[in-house]
Amino acid sequence: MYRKGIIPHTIFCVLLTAGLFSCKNAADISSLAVTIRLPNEPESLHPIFSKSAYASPIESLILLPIAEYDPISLTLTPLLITKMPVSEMVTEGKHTNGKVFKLEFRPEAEWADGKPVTGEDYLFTFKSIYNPYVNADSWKNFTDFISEIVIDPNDLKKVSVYFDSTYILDFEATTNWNLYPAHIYDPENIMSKFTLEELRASDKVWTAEQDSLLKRFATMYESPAFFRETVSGAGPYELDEWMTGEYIRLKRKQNWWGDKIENPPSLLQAYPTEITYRIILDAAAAEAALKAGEIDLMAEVPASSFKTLSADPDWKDKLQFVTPPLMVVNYLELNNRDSILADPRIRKALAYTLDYDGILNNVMAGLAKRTVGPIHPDRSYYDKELSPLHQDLNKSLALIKEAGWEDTNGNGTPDKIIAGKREELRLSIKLSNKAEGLAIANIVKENAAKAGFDIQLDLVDPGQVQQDLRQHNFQVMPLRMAFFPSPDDPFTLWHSSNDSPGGSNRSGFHTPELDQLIVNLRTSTDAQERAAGYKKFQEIIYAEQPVIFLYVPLERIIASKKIQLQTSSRRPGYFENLLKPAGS
Amino acid sequence: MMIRSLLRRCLNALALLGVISIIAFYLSKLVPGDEVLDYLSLDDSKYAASVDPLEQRKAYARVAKKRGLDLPLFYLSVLPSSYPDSLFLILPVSDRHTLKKWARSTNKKEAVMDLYRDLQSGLRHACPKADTSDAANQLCQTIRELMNTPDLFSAHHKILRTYHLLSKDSTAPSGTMAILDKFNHHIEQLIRSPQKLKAMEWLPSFYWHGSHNQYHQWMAGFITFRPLTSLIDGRNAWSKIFDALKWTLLLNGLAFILAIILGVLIGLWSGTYDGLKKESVINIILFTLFALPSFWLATLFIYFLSSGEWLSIFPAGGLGPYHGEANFFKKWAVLLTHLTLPVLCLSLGSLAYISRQMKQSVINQFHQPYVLSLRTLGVSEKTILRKHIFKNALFPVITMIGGALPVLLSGSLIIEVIFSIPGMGRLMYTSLVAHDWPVVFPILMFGAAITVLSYILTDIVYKWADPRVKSMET
Repeated sequence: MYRKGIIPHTIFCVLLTAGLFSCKNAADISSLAVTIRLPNEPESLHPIFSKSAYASPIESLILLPIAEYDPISLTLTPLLITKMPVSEMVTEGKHTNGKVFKLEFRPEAEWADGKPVTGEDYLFTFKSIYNPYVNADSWKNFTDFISEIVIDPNDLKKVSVYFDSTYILDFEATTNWNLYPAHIYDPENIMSKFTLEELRASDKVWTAEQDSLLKRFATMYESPAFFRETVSGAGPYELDEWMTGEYIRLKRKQNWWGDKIENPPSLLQAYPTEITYRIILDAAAAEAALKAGEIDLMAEVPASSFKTLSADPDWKDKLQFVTPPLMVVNYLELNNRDSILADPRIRKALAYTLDYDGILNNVMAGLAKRTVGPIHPDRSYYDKELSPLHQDLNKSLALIKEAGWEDTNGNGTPDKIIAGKREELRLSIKLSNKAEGLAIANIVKENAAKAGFDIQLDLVDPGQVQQDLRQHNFQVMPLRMAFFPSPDDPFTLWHSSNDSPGGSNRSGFHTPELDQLIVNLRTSTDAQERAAGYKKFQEIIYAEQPVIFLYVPLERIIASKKIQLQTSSRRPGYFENLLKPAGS
Repeated sequence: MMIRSLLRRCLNALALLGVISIIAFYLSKLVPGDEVLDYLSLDDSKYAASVDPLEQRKAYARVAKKRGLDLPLFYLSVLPSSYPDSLFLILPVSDRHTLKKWARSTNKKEAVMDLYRDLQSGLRHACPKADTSDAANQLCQTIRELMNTPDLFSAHHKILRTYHLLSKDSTAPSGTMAILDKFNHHIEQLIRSPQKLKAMEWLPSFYWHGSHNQYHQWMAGFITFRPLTSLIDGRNAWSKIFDALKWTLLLNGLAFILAIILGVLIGLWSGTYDGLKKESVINIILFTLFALPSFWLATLFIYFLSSGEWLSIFPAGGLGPYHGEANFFKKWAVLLTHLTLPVLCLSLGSLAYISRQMKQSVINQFHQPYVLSLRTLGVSEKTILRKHIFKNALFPVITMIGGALPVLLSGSLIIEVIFSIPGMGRLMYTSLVAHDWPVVFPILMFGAAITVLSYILTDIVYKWADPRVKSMET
């Protein structure tokens, strides 16, 4: 007969063994080692090539920018340079009537191997972007405004940067990017054989040897070695370990040069001795890890979970809940080229059908605030006189009627003859299966139906969404727009020159008046003139509703009470280098 | 005989793998989106500057060439004779679509290519970064629009509109109107009376490309284990796959072993005590576990056993700090701790299935004549069960083992995501979403090869284990 009890006995032994091995250690916080959840693994830590938004904060801890927007004051603050350059008029030489910015790198600033940060590294970083075989075209178009870079031959720490034309983002173009150490990223010193001028010449014909060198550098520069193995800079941290799919660990440098700076700005302070970014894709698993003390901080907490946890008195004692406003805005992109949406009355009618508070409460659990236009509400030049739209079905119906739409065929949807063809007031919202977008789209569909809009949801592959967005093959699309602390430059999204297939003016909305306004904003140096320009810009967009702005989400961050957290409206809402033990 | 049968099976398997590879390749080409544009665009550009169209086209050509996208798809192309011969050389891909439409609507492939070449030349003239005049911008924009306008009448309308605008602009660069005239002339030629196809032109054109094609590059890379570069991070695709494979093998292997051992033992016990109350209770528990989705089980485990809501005795996921352990046993202790919950999630579902199979098989064996004979001869029940019934009842389980081999290697996406295990499931999913074909294709072919091989092996083992199958064949 089969021995009784063997199976339950076996199961008990297995569980007992597992339980014995699984005793967890309490988290040790005295060593300032912090563990942060990373929702997605970046593909590289090479600022010129990395695409993931999660890479940027990590990169900045290793490869420090020359200057960066302070997380608290949101002003451009010198990091690698002694002070912010002042724009000076050029009165002689080839850049006469242009501007020059003179930078001086800090005497203390040095790379991980102790070599000093100099103008040669500055020039190298530029040259690497202009290597014809390096895929950095987006960077080129930002730095194209710089006319020339000259290193002081008597002091390599001093650099003059010339602009022949005025550009609203000249400070940013000069200073707000990560600096690369030339001797580490170009160990064969290839780029020193080329001048910046010849690299930028579009009609330059290279010799076979030069071509071979440029290709060699580009291949090396864009290789996995520099994506994830050799990641080195002047920042307070160095890459200690990167276990694919598991974590990325940074370690604080011993004897870092920034420790010698008196009254350092926020981004030159670095408290944690170790920062581990644990890659946890699933939000529920990340929440469990946070509760269990396996991670110390988690951002992008789903709104409903955030609300539930923050209301639980048990967890309120152990965790801290913060909601800094983020510099992003969620909106509905409308294709103004579409025969139905080309009419501003229809766009406004759609805008008036939406229950904005309902969207905020259902999608974001109330953790968001309304916004009216393409300028972030926290900007000083945000037009507070423009009041957010509210649901007004009567107005919506009146606008639809005024636009000549009427249900002539009795199917419940207004129709109209456009270009000789009967069109129904039918719109399609194209989106991928992201939860937030889906939730918004479903609410829009339900709300808009009350005014007669027949809205269909077109769920497609994320790749298809990108392609259709580029090709302007959509009617309505829920999107998110990111802002940076730098002054807004509406050129990319709103100027007529970008309204072409693949162009960045996705809505297709532009007017000659708006074009001129945008050009003035780009080149004006007068603060009052700029403020007036931004105001006018917002008024035009508000009046025309080429896109429908929904809300500015609040970031949802939960952190252990063992750490002291300082939040910021700069993404991701916190700064790892400023995390300290609670009570310090 | 067996060797001949084996050889036949192997040849069939190779043919099947070939067909799978071709289907997979073509499906990858049908995926929406432009992988080169996706690579060149930034998700989160700090300063969203508009891109110079000329530079973008150059960058596109460079990246496409690097990825072999300037090669024809397959060894043989069959195209309508109205299509230009060098269509597969045209980049970007969106231009190809436009040219196909033009060619189809007019049957004038040479004229279509002439227009295209002039449009490209017009881009070089009108879109240089140095000239930012409104007129140059307008011309540049028009040319870009024309290259994406499949309908020639709409294209004609756009040219006339731009002509009308720029004819009044005194700042228009010299040669602008001549360029527009040229385009206008081309399009009018194309629109005017589309050419009728001659008799032979109704037949498609065949082009032989030899090994100079994308599919060949793919397969050659896979078969020869040539270094394949991931399109996302530039790493060797094989090293990414093997890094993920080891975790999947460990996770699924442990789950499989646990499910087999427990399933066989429970099945044996259930078959022996079939009909008793305690067996019914076990039955209900097993079927409940079978019915529960593994991802839900995973979430429950994490919530109740890891998060501290009830207990916090297991880690919430990941693989733990095993790297930091020098001692072999400590390293494995850390790993096994972290793998306990995911292994349980994976094994509990299949446990029910295996135990039921085993139970049924045991019950069948109990009704075999040889069992009655053995009882008659005075052999003890314990001996009958252990030495005879157990062995014979294992045959269905052997089949299951063979069928489970591909599952061992394919990974479990949901469990890996929930428990943050960097296995094959997660790798396959992230690579598919990112269209990282140098990683996707080897994983797919590997899985297909293992599946085919496992069925061949199962057949062999079955024949070897069961003499009745061998004698039936002979």
